Amino acid sequence: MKRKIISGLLAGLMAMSLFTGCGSAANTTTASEGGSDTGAKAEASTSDPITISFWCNFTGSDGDVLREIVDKYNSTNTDNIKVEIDIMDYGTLQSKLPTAISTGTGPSFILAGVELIKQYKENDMIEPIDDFWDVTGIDKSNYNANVLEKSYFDGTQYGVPMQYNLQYLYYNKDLFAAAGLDPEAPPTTMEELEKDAIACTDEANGIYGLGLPVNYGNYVEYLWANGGDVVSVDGKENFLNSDANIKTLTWIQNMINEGVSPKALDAGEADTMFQAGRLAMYTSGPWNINGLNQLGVNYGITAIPAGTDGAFSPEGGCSWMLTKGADEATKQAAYKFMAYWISDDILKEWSNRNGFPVWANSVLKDSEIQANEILADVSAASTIGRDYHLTLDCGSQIDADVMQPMMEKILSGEDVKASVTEASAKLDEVLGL
Amino acid sequence: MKRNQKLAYLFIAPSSLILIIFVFVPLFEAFFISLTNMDIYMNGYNFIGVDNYLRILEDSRVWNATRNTIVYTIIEVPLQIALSLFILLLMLGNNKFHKFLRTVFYIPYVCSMTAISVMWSMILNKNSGMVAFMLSKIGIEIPNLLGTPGYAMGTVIAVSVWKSFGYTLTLLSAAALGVSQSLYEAAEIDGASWIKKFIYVTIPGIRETIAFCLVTTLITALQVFDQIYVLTQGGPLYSTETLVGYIYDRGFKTAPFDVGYATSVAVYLFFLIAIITFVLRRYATRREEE
Repeated sequence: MKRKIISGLLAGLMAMSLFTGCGSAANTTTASEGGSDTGAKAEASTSDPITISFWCNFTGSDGDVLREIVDKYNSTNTDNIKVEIDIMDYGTLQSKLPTAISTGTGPSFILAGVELIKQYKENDMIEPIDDFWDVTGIDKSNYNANVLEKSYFDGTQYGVPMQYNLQYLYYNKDLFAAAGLDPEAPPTTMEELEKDAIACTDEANGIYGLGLPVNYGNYVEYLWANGGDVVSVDGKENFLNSDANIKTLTWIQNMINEGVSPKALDAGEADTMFQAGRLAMYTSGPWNINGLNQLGVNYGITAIPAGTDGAFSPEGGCSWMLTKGADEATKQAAYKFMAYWISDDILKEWSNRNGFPVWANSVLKDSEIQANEILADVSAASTIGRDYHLTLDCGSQIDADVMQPMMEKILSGEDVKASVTEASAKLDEVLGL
Repeated sequence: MKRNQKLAYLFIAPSSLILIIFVFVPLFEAFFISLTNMDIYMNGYNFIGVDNYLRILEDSRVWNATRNTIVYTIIEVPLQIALSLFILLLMLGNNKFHKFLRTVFYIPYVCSMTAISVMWSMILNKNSGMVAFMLSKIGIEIPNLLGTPGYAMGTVIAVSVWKSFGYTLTLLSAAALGVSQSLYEAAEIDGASWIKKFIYVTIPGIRETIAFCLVTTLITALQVFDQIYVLTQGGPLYSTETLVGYIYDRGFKTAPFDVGYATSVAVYLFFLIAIITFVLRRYATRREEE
């Protein structure tokens, strides 16, 4: 009898263990109601609010601000629109969205990186929204053309920009002062960057001058600065294996050898170390500003330092996109929400609280924005944006399969030339050359 | 067909149906998908025959992932079972804390692997983690456990064993409770020490359960994913990338989201697991017959 109980127990345990694996994935998100469905319902009875939903991967502190703004819209809008927000991590979003849209269980609209527009368009997942400016009556010229441009593909508009960003150099003013450097004079050239990084490094106390994470992805801003590059904008040419690149990458490796950065640093760790005041400088996007302000870190932001060829920074951004098959009511409601987002108040709030650069002329004139020192620095540092494989289908593959392994090797001290040659061969493969 | 035979078929029909719909159909579907160039958008894919499988042969990352998966399995599984047996030995000697300890050791197994991995990655972090900080206070500098190719796999295995041995322990101790008390009494009369009782009474008594644990932990180990995804993301330099991690990377993480190719790697993993389990079972049953 005892044996039977035990075997029963075993069978139960085994069955449980079989299900634990899939359970966690399925539970991460609950599918939102189909936008088209709820839209139709709303038409039937005017008293019901029109519910539109969107998916995004704003899992950080910026997601909290986003949620607050959406809640504010829900409680203040007079059009009887209710916006539902569904935040999930990037991998989940990428894997769920295509099937969700094709089976009609997807969101009414999405908030995603501008680099995905081409992919989504070509796979029939998003609707053109050419009539957005006409329908909403918003003056297009109020917004930076280069930001708007990112939401177009083949001359057709597919998105409304939500935010725009570059990579910036963050520096800790206290550590600069402690090292005897002027806290108001961050490095502007790569030589100064190296010099300051060495000056700030105090390995005995666990303080480092410059964070060089292995999984930061690409160091393309430094390659560009010295006249190098990785891939042509159309993805048809491989520029990786060049003397200029080898020189720049050797410079980066030398800094690791000089001990200015912890070895085998992880990008997340770099964030933590900078927040803890143990890293004097590092490169990152504006999404860290909110957290740094909350922690009261005495930091500054400046443009990526210039090399022999100038200063550049890879640009990116997010756009609102309307998913395929949205009906008229959903589309109108989504337009109203998108228009609300690019209104001065919201853009100002988003920039003020999250530190994203301002890209609307009317907001730039705002006195509160002008008085915000960090924001002024961010906006000033945002003029050097350059397109890094934004429109290429294989963009993420270049980062994952070519650039990251190459940087991991170089940063761990392997031969630069050999690493670049190997990565260049891999890049040819990825580009299909 | 006899009447009760029909009845028997009727009884197994619902579960067979579930099995067919949720196991066999997806299985065959996967075989089909692995012969196409389907991507995640599922638009206009073509039948490309065994091209994906030929690609596997040339893909060094598949072989690297296979090696990592096997290394992980052959270290993790015996370690987990050996640790469970060792703790079982200690627990049998002390009946008072038996239940309490069993619960304590089972707690990590109940927790989500992701949560545990996040916790360990914070603890083990070289630059901001607790372990490195504490050890540095007493003058010991540890290497970057998760960020150095030579240490990353060992660290992942240690975390996995820590998390999962409670499961094996619970099974083994449940089985140990089922071993007839009279055998222990007989051994006692013969003057056997408690360690001898463990080796000559307990272990033979729970041999079948050990074999069961071996097969289940083996299958789980060959499919290792969560802890690696959270702890190292397969890095540094692919040193901890396992087959499931690579499948996820090709299918869902890196454009062009090559689902067809990822599925063919999944089919390959399926056969790998099937063969290993088959061989192991053959071996285990032969042992039992002897």
